Order: sequence, then structure tokens, then C-alpha cells
Amino acid sequence: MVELKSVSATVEVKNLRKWFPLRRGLIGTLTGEPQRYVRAVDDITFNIEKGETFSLVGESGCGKTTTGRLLVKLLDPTGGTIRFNGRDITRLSKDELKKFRREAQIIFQDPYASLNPRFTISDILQEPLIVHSNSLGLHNPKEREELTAKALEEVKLVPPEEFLWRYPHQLSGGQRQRVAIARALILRPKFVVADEPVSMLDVSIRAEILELMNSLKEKYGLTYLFITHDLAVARYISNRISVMYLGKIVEIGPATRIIESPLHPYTQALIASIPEPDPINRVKVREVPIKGEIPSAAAIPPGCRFHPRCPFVMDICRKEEPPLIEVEQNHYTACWLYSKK
Amino acid sequence: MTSKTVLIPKKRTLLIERLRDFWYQYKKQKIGMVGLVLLSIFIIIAILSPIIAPINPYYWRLTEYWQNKPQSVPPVWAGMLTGKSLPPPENITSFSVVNATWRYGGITYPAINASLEFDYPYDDYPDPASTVLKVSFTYSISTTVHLYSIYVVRPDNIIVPLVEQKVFPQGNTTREVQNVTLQLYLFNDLAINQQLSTWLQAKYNKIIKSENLRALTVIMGEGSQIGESNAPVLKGKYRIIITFLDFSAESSGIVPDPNFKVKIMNLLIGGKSYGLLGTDTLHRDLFYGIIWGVPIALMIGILTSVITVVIGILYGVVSGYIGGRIDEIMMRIVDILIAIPKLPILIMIALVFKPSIWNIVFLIAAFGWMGIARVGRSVALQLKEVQFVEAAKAVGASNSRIILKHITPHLTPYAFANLALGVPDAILTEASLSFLGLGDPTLPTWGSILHDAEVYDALGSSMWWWWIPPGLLIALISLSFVFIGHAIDEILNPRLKRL
Amino acid sequence: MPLLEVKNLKTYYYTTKGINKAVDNVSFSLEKGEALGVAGESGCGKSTLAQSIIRLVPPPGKIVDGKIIFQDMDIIKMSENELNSKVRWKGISMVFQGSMNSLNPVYNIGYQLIEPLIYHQGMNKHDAISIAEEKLKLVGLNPEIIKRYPHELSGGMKQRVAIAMALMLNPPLLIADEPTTALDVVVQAQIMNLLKELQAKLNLSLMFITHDLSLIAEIAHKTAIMYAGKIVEIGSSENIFYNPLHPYTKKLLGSIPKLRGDIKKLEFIPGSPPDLRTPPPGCRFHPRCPFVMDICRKEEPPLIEVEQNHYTACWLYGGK
Repeated sequence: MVELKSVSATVEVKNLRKWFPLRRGLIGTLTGEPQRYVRAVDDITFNIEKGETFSLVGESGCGKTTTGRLLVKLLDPTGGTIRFNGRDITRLSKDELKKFRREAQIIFQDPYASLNPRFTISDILQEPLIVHSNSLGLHNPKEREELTAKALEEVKLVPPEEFLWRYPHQLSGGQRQRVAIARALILRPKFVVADEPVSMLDVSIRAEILELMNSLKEKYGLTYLFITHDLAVARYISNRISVMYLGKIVEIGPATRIIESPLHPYTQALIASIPEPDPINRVKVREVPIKGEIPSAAAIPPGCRFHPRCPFVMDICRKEEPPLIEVEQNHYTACWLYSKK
Repeated sequence: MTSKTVLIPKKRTLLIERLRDFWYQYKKQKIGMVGLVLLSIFIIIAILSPIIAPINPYYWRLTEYWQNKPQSVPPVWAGMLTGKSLPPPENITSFSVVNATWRYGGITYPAINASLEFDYPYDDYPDPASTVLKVSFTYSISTTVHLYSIYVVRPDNIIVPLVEQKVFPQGNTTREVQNVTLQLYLFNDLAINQQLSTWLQAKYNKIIKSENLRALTVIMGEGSQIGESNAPVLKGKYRIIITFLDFSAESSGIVPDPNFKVKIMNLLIGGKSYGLLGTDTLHRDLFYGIIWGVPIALMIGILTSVITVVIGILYGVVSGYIGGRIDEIMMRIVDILIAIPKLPILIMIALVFKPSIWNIVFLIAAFGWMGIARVGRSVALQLKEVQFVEAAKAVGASNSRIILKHITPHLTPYAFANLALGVPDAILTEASLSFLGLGDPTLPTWGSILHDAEVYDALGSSMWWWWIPPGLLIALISLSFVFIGHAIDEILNPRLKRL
Repeated sequence: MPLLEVKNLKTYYYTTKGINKAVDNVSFSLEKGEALGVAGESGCGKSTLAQSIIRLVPPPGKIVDGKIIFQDMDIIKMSENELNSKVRWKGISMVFQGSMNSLNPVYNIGYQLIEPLIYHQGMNKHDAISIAEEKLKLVGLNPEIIKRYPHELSGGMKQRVAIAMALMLNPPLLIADEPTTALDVVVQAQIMNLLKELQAKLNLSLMFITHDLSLIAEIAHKTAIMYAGKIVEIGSSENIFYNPLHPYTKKLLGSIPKLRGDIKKLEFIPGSPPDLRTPPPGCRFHPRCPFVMDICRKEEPPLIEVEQNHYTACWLYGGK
């Protein structure tokens, strides 16, 4: 019987940057036009503690998805460092990268797109085992099949034989996402990035998946980076939440504190925007203390990025970027309202 | 927990289900079914070709092998089209020998009548140049003379004398058995013509000079028009009789030559038609050439198409997946190759290097893969951003694994459609090269048959049976693949969009 | 007289693999100025319901049975021509899911707004443009954008344009099918505010279709909960949210993570919705229901009034 072990992880991110160059076209290159970038992730610093569920919350285009990809090395950073369990993983050789993949995995958002429609569930689950067969010492297909059956049992897709030989289109959205979870965990990684894992599922089955993820975390001592745009889900599942806006972290803190006393005006606006299932809200107009729309990440405003939309904007906000400072215990924010200058 | 479907399929039954689903959709396309039926016929012919045409195809170039066949004659059934049935070559070997007597010069001699009978139902005369009567007989060498006389008994019972010939003894030894073999071109002989002219004048009062006389019109011409050049053929049972006279004995009692025996009497009727598809100027039976052309065309077409599709897809997918500068370079190469005119270059290469059939296959493939590469590349570009490819990368899959297992399989439907559609192109290109005389000279491809037809001016002299079958078959086999490819495309195209 | 009355509506899809009973015997009514929220998860039939009301069900779907009465007109019996000239866009208009992507990228906003007015209503260009500008102001956009192209606008702005387009002919009823799904939460709140404003200003009747119950609470007077092609509970929003009756409704409400208050354990419903080609006998929810009884497996419960303005189809509340 083959057993794979795992131990928890810490992740330290320092001044992480990911800039995507914008295509200039032939004329632009010839006329020496300066290279413009989409600054998707622009100098962020945070840590993820061993065994915690750390949520990265923000709207589309804030850089949370890119951050998730950077932490599992599907993208290489433009600047900054990432340390994993004390090791610097900012740049890795091919072999080191392959080894790293056994320690960090990712669950994708779309259960319809993250499973190859031409692979059976068995093929999908066996792929990580085949790719790493050398380092795992797993050359026997029988052993691999055993492990895939166990993986399905762990995500409560039982009996495994009923699912192993099916194709993804024959499974429901919730079942597919379980397969995605099983695939992510089959190598017993220590760190898992979950990129909006439930946002494409029906509301009534989200809790089931979230519960499953929690119980697996307990069982295997995992550390999660949970990416979502839904603050309510983030509050439900995470220990700490960090809010991103236009490539920067604007607030980090314990989940309950972020919701109960949000510091950054953007966080406050997000919380104010979230609808609640209470008909009493029908007669009120929901106050959304925010102006305008998110600017393009290729044309980032100077100073504090949020300043054009901030209801409390001050002069300094237009000129200088505020630093991330600790306002109360373990609760940080980057806002001139709280910094002295 | 309830699961979605009721059945629990075993491993590969889903592939079978998909194939069955595909077949169900394919059956609905009439055009595809026509193509499939046509192709099946071709495949069956190809498989059975060693049985139907049981000679080595390389014999096509061995002219000696075909010598005994008639030259440039249409197929035997051509008569049904023109209303005038033509005789195929026939070899009649059975004959009967009867003892008889013959009065010659007032004396009754013992004689042997060797008689060969044949039935002639055709509308046209046999080929005089190749009609041969071969007779082989033995006799004892003695001092006496033998005489043989050949005449034809027509269906209307008119007897036409042809030859009267004395055979003189050789040497003076007695009772030594002499073997004589005569080969008589009965209907191409000046002496016979003379004889017939005389006979005609005597019997029918027709004066036709022997130079202008066609022997066959006398022997086989009908009724009142006997001897005339446009005389219709008298159909029915003909007998050619050779009467051998032994002067060494007379009915007066001397024992006739016991060694006087007729061994062989063999009439080879020269045919004006031959076989199922006629013959060409080099006496070759076109049926063999055409039949052998089927597996050769299929092999060339399919092999070339497979190579083209495999190269095209791998090249395109790798280029699209790798991206960046390498992709740019690879695509510029494709652009350049697309701009090169295929046929002129192939002609030049073929002229200089005189390639074998395998080289031709690779050359044609070398010019055909570019369009497929472009499509493969665009599919790879789409798929490389798709989440399941990202997932494979996250798991640690190597680029080659992603290309081969994740991306390329999405192109299999497109590949099959192109496989089918690429076959006609390959067949036509090879046929064009062969037609220009640049193909493999050792194999009987349909293009080479057309080439020979052109060289020997079959088009001009309306030897339709030479150039219509190969042309028609090239068109039909191409059509069958086009239909199949079209049907596959119709089914799989919407799926291509649903990537 | 209600503005819209739907009685025993049945819309089925005739596929090669069976008949999909997407909307199966649905009845409800909508008054003038009322907002009805239709909630349900994937496959419940809510989108098909919306499409049925203006008879835009794509083939192989067909309205098989039932009555749709709008302003005394029988929608199902009308000819296509009558429907086009009297009902569609004039009486009932629709904002579809992902509307912002249904704007034609090659025409500017103004052209797309006035096109139906000119070709359909025979209006002249000048009048049509002033109406377009008026509608754009109504949805909170600068009327200048009639000259802009869709790619120049953000997602939220495009959605407002889609709403403006739907209101061009001043229809009394607007159907909105997941109008905020692809939008960020801040923009979503802004669009919801806009809809509330329009409702109040124009006395607009609204049929709001979504899977997000919170949005329904924010705007709808009446709420209908759909499951597997049927309405399982319908009533005033207060009734539904404060006193849910049907087990599905209860579970659905319990599975929404709350932003405020104690963190309670979220509910979930094991299993998945049935295949509507072969729905389970009796109550369609019975395989997943924690309170399933014998009768639930055999007979379909009728929709009965349990309290005033609160109906549900569940054997727990009688009906026999």
C-alpha cells in the first residue's frame, strides 16, 4: 500500500511584482515608443502562516489571480522574492521546479474548463502520478489506480469505480470540482492555492465543497491561499483576509476584524456593496461610498491608486503611495488616513 | 449521493459510444455514404488485385511479356457500344483427323483430313496479320511426294480453296520419320490472294485484282458481297480442312505411310479486341495496368496524406505552443513554403533526380503540410491558455506531454477530415507528374498510363479505352475521398468551434 | 387585473436524447409596478421561463401548454407579427445574461439604441436620438456616449446601456435575466440601485431572475423559488425570507454565507438537481429532501396557500 506524506508550509512574499509588457506593434517598436506594462501585481508583501487559510479578496483585475499563479510558479515574478518553508523559490531550475510542484498545487475556478474533456477521470487523476512517477517510485499502473481510487474516496466520490471511467461532461459541476480537488491533493502537497473554487458552483452546493476543503485541510495539515471576490465566503472560511486593489494590498487582517471594522475605504466600499438576503433592504438605497470605475491596470493613477474613487481623498493621496502599516494588532492597511506624514 | 447517469461504463466503452454516435451522424450524410461506398469498392479491388490481376506489377514495363497479345485493340465488350462485335483472339487447338481418299490426277490416293472447326459469331473480320494456322505432322522420308491442300468450308457450305502444296522428299533415306511444322499466315499471303482472285472470278464472275483483294472478305464475306471490301461477315460454323495426300501409296493397294500423322493443328485467330479493357500500343493488357493502379493510387494517396497531416499538425502545434520568437520563425518558414509553387518545383526536382515512388510521396508531402500547420497552430494558441492545460502545467507535466496528450488530441477530428481531403490532392499531383513522364517509371500508375496514351497518340486516334478508364478512375477515387472528407468535416466542424 | 398572468405554463425541449421538461406547469402573476424575483439554481428552468414569456425560446424548445396573458393579450395565441409589433420591446423587454457582450462592436452606442425606433417604429432620426439621450440620462450615463463604441465602455457602463436599450419604447414590464452576474460587486450594487430607482420613477414592473437570493431580497416584492422546472414556493419576499416553508427554500437560504452576525455553519444540499428528461416521480425534490415522506415519492404536491400571499408545494403543509 503506497502512502504519501505531507507537512504544512509557510509562504513569505516580499515586494512581489508581475508586470506584463503591452505589445507595441511594429510601428511602436520602430519609433522607440517606451514599453508600457500592465502592472498586475505591483509590490506586495505578505506571509501565510503554517496551517492557515489566507484569503485574497478583490474585484476582477486587482491581481489576486496573478498572485495565485505566481505562488505556484505558473508565472515567474518580474521582481521581489517568494520564500517557501524558508527556501527561496523566486527562480527555480527545471528540476527544482518539478520537485516544487509536489509541494504546492492549485485548484482552478472553472470546473468545466480545468478538466480535459477528452480524459477520463482516471486519466486526470493519474496524470500527476505519471508525471512524477520517477520521484515517487510509482511505476506500477496498478498502484497508481489504487491511489486514484483512494483520492476519489477522500473527496467523497464513492464508489470510485462509478466515477473513474467517466468523462467530465458526465459529472455535475460539484462533482467535477471534487475531482479537481482530488487532483490537486493526490501528490500530498503542503500548500494549495484555491482560485475561486466555488464561484461557478450552485449556491446550495458551495458549502459542501468548502466543508470538504476544510476537513481535508485538517486531515493533511494543509495551508490554503483562497482567492475570491466574495467577502462573505472569505469570512466564512478564512483565518485572515487580505484585500487587493489594482495590484496592491490595501488591507490585511483577521477575517472577523476586516469585516467588523474595515479600515481602508475600499474595503468599506466592498462591504457596503454586498447584498444581503433581507427584504428590509428593498426599501433602502444601498449606499456605495465609491466613485467611478476601476481604471485600467496599464494606466495606474499616481500616489494612492484608489485616490480617484476615494470619498476621503486628501492632497497627499494624490502624490504619494501610502505604506502598509499595522493599525491594530495583526491588522494592517495602506492608507494615509492612518499614517502620519 | 446520486450520480448523474444510470449506467456504469467500463473503461473504453465510451470511446465506442462516441464512435457509434459519429457513425450515426455520418450515416445521415448521403454524400458521405456515396463516398464510403466508392472507397469500399476501391479497397476491395485493391485487396483482391493479386487474385484478379495475378502478375507482378513491375511486369508492366517488360514489353516482351505482352508480345503475344493484340496491339491497340479495344475491350471485348466494346462491340456492345458500337453495335459491331469484334473478335477477341482465340486459340483453337482441337481438331479431328479422318482417313479419306482423294482423287488426284485420275488416281485415288489415301488421304488424311485434318479438320478444325470454329464458331464465328462476330460482326468483324479477324486480324489478318496475326491469324496463324500452325500445323505439325510427321511422315516417313521416302522418294515419294506428299501433297497438302487447305480449304475452308463456310457456314453456307461454300468451299473456298486456299493452298495446294507439294512437299518434296529430303534425301533418299527410307523410313526415317520427318517432322514438319508449317506456320501459315493464311490471310496475309500474296499467293493465296492470287488464288482467291482467280477463284472469285471463276465462280462468281467478280474481277478484283489480287493486290486489292482482302482474303478474309472472300473466305468470310457474306453472300452476294463476297470478296468486296465492305462485305459483312458471314457468321456461323467454319471448318478449315487440310487434306494430306500420300503419293507413296495408291488405292491400288500399296500400304500407306504408317508414320504419316498429324500432330498439331492450331488456328490462332487474330483478335481485334482483347480482355476487359483492351490493349495499348505496346500490346499490354490495360486491365492489369488499371487494376494495379488501384492499390498503388490508394497507397500513394493515403501515405502522402498521412505524412502531410502528421507533419503539419506536429509542426503547427509545437510552433503555437512554444510561441515567441521560435513561433515567428517557424511561421515565416511556412509562409515562404506556401509561396513556392508546388508543381513547377516538383517538376524540376523530378526532372533532375528522377525519383522513385517513395521519393515522390515524400516530395508531395513536403509541399502539402503548411495549411494544416497553420490550423494546428491556431488551435494550440487557443488551447495553451485553457485551464486544463494550465492545470497540467501546475501538476508538472512537461511541454511534450502537454502537446501530445492535451493539445494534439483535440485536433484528431480535424486531422481525419484533412486526411481524407488530402488524398485526392496527392493522387492528382502524382498523376500529373507521371503524366508528364516524371513519375516512377517502373510502376503502372494511372498517370503513367495516361502518359503512354499521350505519347502514343491514343487521344488522337480515338483509342478511348486507353485514356478514359485511368482518367475516370482518378476522378472517381478523388471524388470518393472528397465526399468522405466533406461528410467528416460537416460533422466535426461545429465541434471545432466548441473547443 | 394583473399586468402579467402565467397559468400552467409548460415549455419543453425536444432533444435527440429525450424531452427536457424545462418549465413544467408554472403559474404566477405580476401586478403593475411590482418586482418579482425568480430564484433558482442551474437547470431549474428560470431562464427558459423568461424566454417563454416573450416567446423567444430557442429550438428545440417549444411552449407546449398553458396561458400567458399580458395586458389582456394572449401571448401564446398571438402571431409572430403581432407579437413583434405589440409586445416585444413595447410591452415587455428583456435584459439578457451577459447583455454587455451582446452589443455589436462595429456600431456606436447611439446607432444601436435608435435602430429599432427607426426601423420598427418608423421614427425619424432626430426624434430617435433625443429619446436615446433621454434614456441614457435615465440610467445614469452621460448622453455624449452615443458617439462611443462598446469597447470604449466598462462592463458596468455597457450593462447600463443594455438597460437603456430595453427601456427605449417605455415598456411597462422589464425582464432581467442575471443582469449583474458578470459584474464586480461594487458595480453590481450600483446597477441594483439603478433598477430600484427606475422601478420607483417609472412604476416599472420587473421580473428579476437570478441564482443569488440576496439580490432578490434587495429588490423584489414577490419571490418565487424554482426547482427542477417547477415553482416550489412563492409569496411576498418578507414571507419567503423570514418564514421559508419549503425544505429547499430553507436549505437555500441557509447556504448563503452572511457577512454580518455570527458565523453559522453553512447548509448544503447533497446530490444534484435531477435530469429533467427523466425527473423523479412524485415531488421532484424528494431524493434530496431531509423530510421526505412516503407520499413525496409517489405524488406531486400541489401549490397551496399556507398563509396569506405565501404558497408552497410540499406535502409537509398538506394539500390532500
